[in-house]
Amino acid sequence: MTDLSSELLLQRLTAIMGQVSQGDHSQVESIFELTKDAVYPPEIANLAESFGMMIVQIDARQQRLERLMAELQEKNRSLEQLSRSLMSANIGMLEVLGSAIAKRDSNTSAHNYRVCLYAIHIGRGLGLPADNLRSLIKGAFLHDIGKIAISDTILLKPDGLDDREYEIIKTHVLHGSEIIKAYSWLSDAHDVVLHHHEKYNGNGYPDGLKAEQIPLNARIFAVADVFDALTSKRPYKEAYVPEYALQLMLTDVGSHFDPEIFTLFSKNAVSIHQTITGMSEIQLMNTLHDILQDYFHT
Amino acid sequence: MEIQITQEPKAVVLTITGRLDAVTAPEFETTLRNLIDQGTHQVVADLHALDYISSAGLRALLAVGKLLKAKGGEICFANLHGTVREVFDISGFGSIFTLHDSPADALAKLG
Repeated sequence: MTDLSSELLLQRLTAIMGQVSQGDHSQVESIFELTKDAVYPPEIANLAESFGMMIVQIDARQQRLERLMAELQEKNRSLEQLSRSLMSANIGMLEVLGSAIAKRDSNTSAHNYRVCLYAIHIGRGLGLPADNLRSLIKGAFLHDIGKIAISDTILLKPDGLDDREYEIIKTHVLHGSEIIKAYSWLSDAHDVVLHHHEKYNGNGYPDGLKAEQIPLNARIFAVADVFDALTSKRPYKEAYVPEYALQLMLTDVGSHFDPEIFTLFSKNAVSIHQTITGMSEIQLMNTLHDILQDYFHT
Repeated sequence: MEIQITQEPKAVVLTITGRLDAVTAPEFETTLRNLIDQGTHQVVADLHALDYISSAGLRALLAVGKLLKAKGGEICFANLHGTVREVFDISGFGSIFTLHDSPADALAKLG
């Protein structure tokens, strides 16, 4: 080996390393070729070996990173799957609890399903963010869960309640609030469960909250709940047509109902009512189930 | 360099003797590519007789590891010693490949 060839080889090595530092690995094989110490001068071979080790270390890190990424993606996939099945379990529980409450004072869940659909309709109309809508749906499903704690003699009494009995019935919102507080996934149903009997003028219960003091979801739900009660058949009354129900409710706007919410609801109430009353209990359940999938599986 | 190939039920055990460097790395890669083409997915490389490994040798191991990984298999190593172990440590190979005390140990771990 002459000094000249050593000089040329050094220039070549320098040029390749320049390329590598710019991210161009096309000539990298030449570096490993130059590590052959039986062929090239030791100072060149040693330098090439040092560069070669650098490159191998970088490649090793790259491989390590790729493996970690693959593992991470795999873990992420199973987490997503787990989260989906947990969500399905939660939704299932919501539906089952809703039906359980409904069984307590009637043999159908239809009222529960309908009020949910009315409430969702209003919530969407008001442009509520998905988070608030989820809380509203949970609240609507579970609004009367506290009735579980009320005795049959009072809950199912066919004729009017006396003052003492009425006071007992009113405690269902407190019982409901207590029940759902025990499970964090349900705790945001609280606004509706505790406050759905508040009135806009402060004459409701349990806290006598007024106007904006009443949580928005509770104000929305109150409109949905009363509208469905009026348009449904009850032991003591026939089902009113939606126009008449709205007319009755109008006299309570500002005293019972939030004017803005009522005005929004009354615009489409008749057509929504037509759609909803045309559905069987199974159809109501399926419609609601689809909406739940949309809002909760995101 | 010499490569001795032993077919075990769960893996192919390679015993590499001599130097794995820029001169011998191509032969090593060709041998391994042939084994992989013939259906080998699990390789245990016994390095007790490996005297020296250069950057080019390490690069060949990385390439083979990547090929096997793509087939759902892997290459693991046994009997690392002296400078070979040092080089593995420096280059971060310990975190990519599984290292075993002996080929028997490696085969046992393959279940």
